Amino acid sequence: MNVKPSTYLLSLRRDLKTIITELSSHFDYVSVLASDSKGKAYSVRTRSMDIRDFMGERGLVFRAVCQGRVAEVSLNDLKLSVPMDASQKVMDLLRSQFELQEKFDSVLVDLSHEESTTLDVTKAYGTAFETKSPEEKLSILSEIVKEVGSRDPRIVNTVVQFCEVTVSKLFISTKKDMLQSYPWSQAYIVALGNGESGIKMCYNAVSGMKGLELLDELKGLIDTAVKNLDDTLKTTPIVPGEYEIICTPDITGLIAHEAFGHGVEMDMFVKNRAQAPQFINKAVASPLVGMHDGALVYDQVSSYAFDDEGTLAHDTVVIENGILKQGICDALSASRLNTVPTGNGKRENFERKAYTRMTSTYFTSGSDRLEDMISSIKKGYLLDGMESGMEDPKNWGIQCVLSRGYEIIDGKMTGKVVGPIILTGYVIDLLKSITMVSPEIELSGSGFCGKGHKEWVKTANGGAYIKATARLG
Amino acid sequence: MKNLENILKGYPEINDYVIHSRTTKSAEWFFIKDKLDQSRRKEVSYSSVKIFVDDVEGKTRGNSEVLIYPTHTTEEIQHLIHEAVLSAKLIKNQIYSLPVEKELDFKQNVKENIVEAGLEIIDFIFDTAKKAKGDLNSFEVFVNHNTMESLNKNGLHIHYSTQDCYIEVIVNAKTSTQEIELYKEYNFGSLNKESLFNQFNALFMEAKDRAVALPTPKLEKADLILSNDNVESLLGVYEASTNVGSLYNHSSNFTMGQNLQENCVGDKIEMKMLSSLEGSIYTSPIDELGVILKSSKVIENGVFTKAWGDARHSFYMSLEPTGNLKNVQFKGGKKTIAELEKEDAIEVLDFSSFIVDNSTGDFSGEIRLGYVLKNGKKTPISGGSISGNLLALHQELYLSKETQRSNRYEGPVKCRLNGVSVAGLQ
Repeated sequence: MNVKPSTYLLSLRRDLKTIITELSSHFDYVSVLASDSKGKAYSVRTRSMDIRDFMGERGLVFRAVCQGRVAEVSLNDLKLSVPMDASQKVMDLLRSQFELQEKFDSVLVDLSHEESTTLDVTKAYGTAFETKSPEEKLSILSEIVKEVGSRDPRIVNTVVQFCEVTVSKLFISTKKDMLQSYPWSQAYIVALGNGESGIKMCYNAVSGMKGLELLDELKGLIDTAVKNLDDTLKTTPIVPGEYEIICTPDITGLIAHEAFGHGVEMDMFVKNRAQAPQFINKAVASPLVGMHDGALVYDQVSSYAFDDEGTLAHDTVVIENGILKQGICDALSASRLNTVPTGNGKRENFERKAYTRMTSTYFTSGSDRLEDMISSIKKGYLLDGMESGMEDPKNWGIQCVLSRGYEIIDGKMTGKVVGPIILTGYVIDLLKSITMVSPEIELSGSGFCGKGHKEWVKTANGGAYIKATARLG
Repeated sequence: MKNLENILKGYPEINDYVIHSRTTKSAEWFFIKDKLDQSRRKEVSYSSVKIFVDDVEGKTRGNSEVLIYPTHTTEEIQHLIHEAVLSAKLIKNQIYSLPVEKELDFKQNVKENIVEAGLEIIDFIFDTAKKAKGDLNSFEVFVNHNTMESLNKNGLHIHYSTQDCYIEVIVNAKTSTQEIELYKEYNFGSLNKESLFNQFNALFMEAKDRAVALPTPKLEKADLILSNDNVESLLGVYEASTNVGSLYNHSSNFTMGQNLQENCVGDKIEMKMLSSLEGSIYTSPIDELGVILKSSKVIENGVFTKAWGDARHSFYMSLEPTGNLKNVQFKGGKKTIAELEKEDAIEVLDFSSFIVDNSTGDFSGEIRLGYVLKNGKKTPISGGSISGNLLALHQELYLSKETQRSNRYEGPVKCRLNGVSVAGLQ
């Protein structure tokens, strides 16, 4: 079943076209992105519950280019009933900016080569969000909370959340008229336990371009959540040092995202904030490594038909056989770098600027078995439990924080668990140290990705099990 | 807002409601070196409606929240409110009540000058970079003017306005072999040029140090000195762990009345949560539930004396609610910064990202710029990471006598923890 496109956006379409036509006679390029997304978060904890709006937005962002300079206006109270008045208001806000911009030199762009596109896309979910009432959704979550809590007397609180979002976006420029509507959902179980060293918690999540079928996946996560908490409560501090490691697909995805994804966001190339341009067509990883990014690749939380600048979604091969092939790019950076955009221009919402952002980022698969990886390790850890990461594209540093490392000695799991762990290093050293990659790929998109410390957007990351060498602390 | 209130009054089953409306006008600039990438303007309005419904026996209370956009039609608003009432009825949380507060003498009207304020900040940034002979890579400036209105079912009704600013700055420094960058962000309600000049100046100096930094040595354990926003992040464990919500939901390792630093040989924590702080962007006199904020002493002489937080969880814990306070004040310690830096230590000024788990006290971060302090000599280092647990180490936590005010935080400029793990490079 396909999601229904926003009736609000459909009602705006004609008037927005009129406004764009009017504005286009005053500027070299004009576009508008209209958003009408709706979402709810259902949360049940051991002792409380709530329902709240989640990731909703309704508003317009106009972009204009005048003599190569760029200005934008974000509005959510534009009265379209008289399109000429609306057009005048937008024009005034744009013109006043272009006048002020004359105080400064600008990094110029040319968006006049936009291709004509007309597109209406609606994506399907397995089970529509509306097929269960809020009461039924809360009931399912309450059962999961009860079940998790009954498994271990050390569990002092369980938090279960299901989030459903229906995204609708309309993009209009002089050459484009595109509408898309798609669903995504995410859910998690957080178990808090009181162990010998106090309160610790464990986060377990599922996500996808999915409907209520995700609730079944969430139920399937109960055993894992209980086991992972038990393991987390056992953790002892790691002795800092360099170790052989095996990464679960979650951690592989975190490395793909932090190590390389941010480093090939090409707005960083424009600012000279990344080392990647010096490594195009050079080896940056083991020959076993391939990496893709693109909103077309998997049906995940950041999969779409066109981005927030009206560029159609791509499947970009970033690394092939260990060689860096190309980066990912938004429309303005593409113009400044004399290349083509890759459908990675994303905004936190209509109120914010578009930057180059990742979509679904993953390492490709290999042919090594997990058992063989484990048996090949003299002393090291199987890493699991993604917590956070941070990029440093200028210096190609990486920081990943993980909750658990399962000790491996002489090819066998010892049962000892260390944590929390901070994985750091030079990205190319880390990627070149990859010696084994498993066949199965998994992606997850339960977290948010920031640009620096702001501009939070949904992304998905993943890959297979990989074996490498890394510094852990 | 009156329209919203009239719709809510049509539901006799609603026991409480709070409406917060905000109109924000912003001016934003994005620079690459000394050239403009783009500028932006924003004009948006929202109303958040919180609804509370008790069950007929008065044993449970449900709540829900809905966001209303200015383009919602009256029919859409009625539908959204109706759904929110139904949702609130489904929620069966332990009963609680909100304080009955009708009167509040609060006036704050800040004149809107977002464009002028933004241009002044841009000039200031260029001027500071020039004076410091610093290499400015890129920066972003956001100036927001907010017009706020809040009301609740008891008749509390306030209007006020604020203006705030956010700056993100990336600076470079290079040697003959490498170029590095440092990243900083600043958030403030009112511009203190002297303080910001000093911070920018320090940032350019730090970037130059990072460019010549040596790899972090392999030490395994070392005493750690943190400064500025990293101190605020670390001490955030005390804020989060003394919040009524954390205590009620068992995500805190603290209990009220506990002597947190029983075997303390360092400085004992003194912490207050504040309703306002000069220069902070958090100036609202009420919280999200419409409760009037009241400053409160929380930790005195290392003893957790009183939990703070929202009305609901305060009710559960039989405490007078302080409201969801946003500003914090820590008292400085006995030693000066010079004294803290006298003994050998690793001092970290900048992390890739300093991660602190507010429940467990675990902290870690990759070192972008640090210093080895040894025998009175200060050597810049970079790379590797530090990690530790505040709750395991805070018996020997030293806070600088010097304090500073930065947005929502007033407290020590630096702190020193003994026995932190270091994953060095060489």
